[in-house]
Amino acid sequence: MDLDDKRFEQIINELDLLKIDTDRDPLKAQKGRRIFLQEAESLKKTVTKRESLRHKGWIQEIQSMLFVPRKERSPMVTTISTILLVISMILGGGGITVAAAQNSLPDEPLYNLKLLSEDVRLWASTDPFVQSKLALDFASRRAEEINKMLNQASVPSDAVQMRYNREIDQAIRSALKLDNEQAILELFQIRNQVETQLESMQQSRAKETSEMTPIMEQTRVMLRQYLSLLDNGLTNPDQLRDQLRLQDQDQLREQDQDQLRERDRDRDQTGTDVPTIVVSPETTAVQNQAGLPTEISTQSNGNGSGGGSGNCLNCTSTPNSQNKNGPNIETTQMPTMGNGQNNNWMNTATPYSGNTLQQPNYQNNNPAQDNSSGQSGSGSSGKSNGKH
Amino acid sequence: MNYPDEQSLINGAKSYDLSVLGMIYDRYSPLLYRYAMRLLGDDTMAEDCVAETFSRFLKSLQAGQGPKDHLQAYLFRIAHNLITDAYRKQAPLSLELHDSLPDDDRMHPENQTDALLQKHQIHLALKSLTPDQRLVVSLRFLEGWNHEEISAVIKKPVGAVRALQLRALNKLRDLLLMDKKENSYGSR
Repeated sequence: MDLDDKRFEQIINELDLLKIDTDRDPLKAQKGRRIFLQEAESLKKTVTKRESLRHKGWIQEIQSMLFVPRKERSPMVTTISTILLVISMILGGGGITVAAAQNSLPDEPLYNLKLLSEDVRLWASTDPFVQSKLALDFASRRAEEINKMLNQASVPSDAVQMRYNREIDQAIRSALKLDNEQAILELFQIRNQVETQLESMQQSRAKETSEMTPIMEQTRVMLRQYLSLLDNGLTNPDQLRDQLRLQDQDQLREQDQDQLRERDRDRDQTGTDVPTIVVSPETTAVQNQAGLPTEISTQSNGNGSGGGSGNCLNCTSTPNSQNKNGPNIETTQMPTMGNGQNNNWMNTATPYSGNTLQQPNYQNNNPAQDNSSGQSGSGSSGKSNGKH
Repeated sequence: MNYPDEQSLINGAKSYDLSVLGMIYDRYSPLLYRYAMRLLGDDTMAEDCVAETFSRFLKSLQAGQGPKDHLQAYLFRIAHNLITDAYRKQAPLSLELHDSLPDDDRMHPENQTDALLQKHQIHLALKSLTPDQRLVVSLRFLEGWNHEEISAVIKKPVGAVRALQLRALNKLRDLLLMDKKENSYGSR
């Protein structure tokens, strides 16, 4: 007992009253001991495993996962399951975000995510049928977005309209990769949808403000031209395929010429001789004779009917003055070939203009320019005015 | 009976050596029973406390825990927690309510010796301490442990144990003296 304890001597003495040595019932003590040892034995059995069941290395870890169920919880399984859980949460979270983005409009933050998810879906599909369906579905979404924006009195951007255009284009191209019977069915569906969307946009004309009118008018013109194109495709899918192929070639040629022009400009500016490749009318004629009909062979004079005379159903191509041996092929309706009639589009990408999205000069109505391009032999369907 | 040192007992217990576990029970269960009996004052409750203490000890071994040293302190800590729980489960009593306690045979003054009555008052006074204070007082003055041993149980420094002891004794003195005064007034 220390010094502090002395102050509480009386209390400590009273506590001594509790120091009774009650005899413990020996039977109860024995029973308690027995129960304790039984419990210890049962726990010992569950803890100690047979040697063959113990995890002793990575081989056993793998075996335990694949073949032999073990009683012990494997640390590796725990780690893997944790990783899988984290990955699934991340992907699940991403999936939720993408799902949330599906109803977003172009002026909303998640819209780009929505477009990205659409691009991924389109890119991941290899079947033309699926591609066509997807592209048509996405085009339908663009139309809905444009209508919603009209209802909200906001102006749809050029980017949305261009994407809309591209998606219809993609739907048609994918449909044409199918055999004729299937392609016609698909084109028919695309036509119906385009027609519905056009009607919807025409009905919403009343809601348009002066700010919206130009872009909406462009969209309507685009849809009308698609309708016309689809009508042709339904009549003769092969002809539409040829048109597309030619337009693609035309586009490539234009790109080549642009490069050449740029190189010439660089040469003029630097004064150095840069070797150039001149695309002569003869070259074009050879290509034409090789089986590539339509406007390329006929437009080099610039004043001809213009192979790109989209809405000219009855016109025939003028024989090329420099390529008289070239085939004199009756041109068919090329709905959006950038002829004079359609060039009232104000910088709007025209479907099947040969440069679907890159066509730079739709409002070029100046025949003088066509003449010059014709003289140089570099005229293209997209640039000819198709005068009659 | 000569028992191995605590560390050997702990090692044997961790490998579930039944003979070692039996030795542990034989060595500590009487101490635990006595401690529980002194604080709980009931034979059945004290036996239950001992059984539950050893059961928890086994479960902690199975979970890979259990004591690293101071086996006795570890077991007394478990027992003390169980006793504290038992105190909490009992209907709250206070010294002020002493006169209105149930008038059963055991508590009736005619049937009680002064010592029993006094013992009851001490029990009530102990109940009014905090768990740590009660632990320090009971181990120090009932079981005769030194401060170092107690500090191993409550995992506090010796100075803190002394401070707990001082506060506990002060409180006990106040409670018991006040109770005596009330009794003396009542007897007049």
